[in-house]
Amino acid sequence: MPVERVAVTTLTDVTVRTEHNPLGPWSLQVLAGECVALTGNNGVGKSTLLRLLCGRIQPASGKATLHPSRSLAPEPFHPPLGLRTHELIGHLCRCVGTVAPAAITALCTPDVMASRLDQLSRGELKRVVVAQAFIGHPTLLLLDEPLEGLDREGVALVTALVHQHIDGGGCAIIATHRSESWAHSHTRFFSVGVP
Amino acid sequence: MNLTPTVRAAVAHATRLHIPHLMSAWAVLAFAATPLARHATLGAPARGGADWVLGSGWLAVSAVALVVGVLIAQTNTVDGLLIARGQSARRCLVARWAGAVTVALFASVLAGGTYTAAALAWSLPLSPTALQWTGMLALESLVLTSLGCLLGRLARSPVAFTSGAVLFVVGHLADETAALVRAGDTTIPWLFIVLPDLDRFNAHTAVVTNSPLLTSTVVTAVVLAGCWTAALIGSALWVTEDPNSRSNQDRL
Repeated sequence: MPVERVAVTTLTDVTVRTEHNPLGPWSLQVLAGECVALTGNNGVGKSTLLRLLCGRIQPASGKATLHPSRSLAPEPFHPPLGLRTHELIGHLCRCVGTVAPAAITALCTPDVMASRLDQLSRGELKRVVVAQAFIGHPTLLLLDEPLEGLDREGVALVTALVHQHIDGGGCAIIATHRSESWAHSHTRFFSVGVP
Repeated sequence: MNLTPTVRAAVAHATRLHIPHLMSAWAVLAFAATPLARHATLGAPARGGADWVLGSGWLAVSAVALVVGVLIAQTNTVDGLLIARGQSARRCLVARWAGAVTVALFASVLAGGTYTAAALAWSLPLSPTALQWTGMLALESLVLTSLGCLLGRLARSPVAFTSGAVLFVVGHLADETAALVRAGDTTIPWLFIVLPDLDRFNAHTAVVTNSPLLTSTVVTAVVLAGCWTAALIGSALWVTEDPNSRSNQDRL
């Protein structure tokens, strides 16, 4: 007998007002243990939808029910000048009230941890940005282009961590242009450009 | 409530995430010896034209404090990560503001120490006293940082920002002019628009009362408390952002 899964986040006919044009309407329900890959051309609103799902943007119409335990790995991420990786991670851990998760050591080498964020390569910074999303073990991961700029090893690490998170009962919503990398039994594709 | 971790976190937040705070501290320290320079180079009776130079020093310190305040008002990328996790934007703003205030206080105490040490080393008279000087620096930094924070919240509207800035400058100009005219001083140093020279401030209050120190202290306290309260209320009122603005989206 199949177990009924709980809805983690629900959007019902949500539209978003932007400076250029309105986006949506979108209707989306994400269940626990599910990975949703947001696909679509540039400018259709994938990143905007992620910001909506983390509460940084309010819907112009419709209803959005957000999950309280969530985190975002934004793209792009502009680090403050002079801030080092371990300072960022330490600050976030203190604010969330937890210790650094295993994802930090998996994705960030000691050299990266000791380096200034504004001096990291694009791939190294992407690893840091994705790794910080795992701090506090949030239920819902919101990842914006988490594989862009990563080498082969980085891609394998990030996809493995996300799959592990989903297998553990968490869920993820991922904006991506690399849908083939997210082939997983629990992955569902959502085309943002198509209402 | 144990405040030690809060203060420690605020200082860490300020020093790690807001480099301009350190610039502010540097500026305050750099001008800590301003009254010493006045006495050492000119002597009190002959300072006349040099006040313009020293006044510009105050302007520099004040401008840095205002800019820091405006920067504090803006959500940075690190706080954006926390807000995306559901933490309150108001709480993040208060943390940034508390960090700046703490750094400003430390810098002022250091400036006061520098001022006293220099005066002792060169056997110069302490005028104003070290306590007065430290207090002036601390209050100046606190008030202007808070005011900058308020202006930063208003910066969503260019008209509101410009109006606030103009009102701030005009208000100080009017206050200073009135004070100098009442004191019988016709050489109005327009560069003293941010903080009145203490001697002249005492002189003009002496016109009103025979107890200049008490009056100036009370007036200063009332004015600063008013600015402080207004900045706090304003910060709280305008803390809610327009989340759909492009600039706010980019900060994520």
